[in-house]
Amino acid sequence: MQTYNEDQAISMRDQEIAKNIASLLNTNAINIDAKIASKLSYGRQKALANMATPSSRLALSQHGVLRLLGDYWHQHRLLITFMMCGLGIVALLLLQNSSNQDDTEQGDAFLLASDLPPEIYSNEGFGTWLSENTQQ
Amino acid sequence: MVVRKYAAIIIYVLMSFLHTHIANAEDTTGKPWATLNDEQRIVLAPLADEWDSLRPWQRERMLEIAHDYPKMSPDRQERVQQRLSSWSRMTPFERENARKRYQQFKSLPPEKKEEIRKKWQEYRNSTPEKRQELRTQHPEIFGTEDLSAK
Repeated sequence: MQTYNEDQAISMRDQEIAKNIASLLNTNAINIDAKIASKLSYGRQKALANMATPSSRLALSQHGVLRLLGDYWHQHRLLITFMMCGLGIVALLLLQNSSNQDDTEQGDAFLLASDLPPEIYSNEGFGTWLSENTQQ
Repeated sequence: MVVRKYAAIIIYVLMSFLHTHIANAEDTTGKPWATLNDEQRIVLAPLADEWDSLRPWQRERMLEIAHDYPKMSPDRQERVQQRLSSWSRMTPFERENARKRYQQFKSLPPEKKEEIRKKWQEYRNSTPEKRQELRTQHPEIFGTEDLSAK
């Protein structure tokens, strides 16, 4: 019980000291230099502005690139979607085209121009012989 | 507004690209003999009589052969022309098997390929009696029917 009263007394004394300090500061603030007052005011406003929206420097140093990309995505998402679809289709067609060209290089013309006639290749027995000799 | 403009341009470019691609793909199918160009007619001359009775996909395959033909040496071109008719008369199943075995043949060791080439040279330079003998000895290569010596 005694301890509680002591704590309460200390707390009240601290508040009293804080009030005295605030009073002293307010009294002396009137006498402060205008230049310093202006700098302090500017600093306060800047600190408040930074609290409302994080500065771009801070954003760039953390997730700046992602943030910029995210903003761009939000602004042009329709355009980017179309571009991605377009690129996908073009890539697919080019891939199909190149695979067709590969087929052509191994196409029927080359089979017909081979050392052996196509009748040999279509012979079942030759297929068996090839399988046996390819495995060896 | 700007986004819509860009989107319209992209759609236009895509549609043009697709149209060209589809037009090129359709261009080679179902062409009657009369519409072939001179180069194609020369290559596919052995098929002139039967061309219009071929199915569109068969014509497409033959036109692919005509497309590759100029890339070949004169002796290989001659072989292609000699073998075109019999190739067009083979069934799709036979042709597909031939394609698979041709790929297998290409992957054989060089000495094995040379062995087969020599046997084939011997066969094609032989008399009918000797060919019959070779077919009996090597049915796995020459089959049971007489192959035209091409």
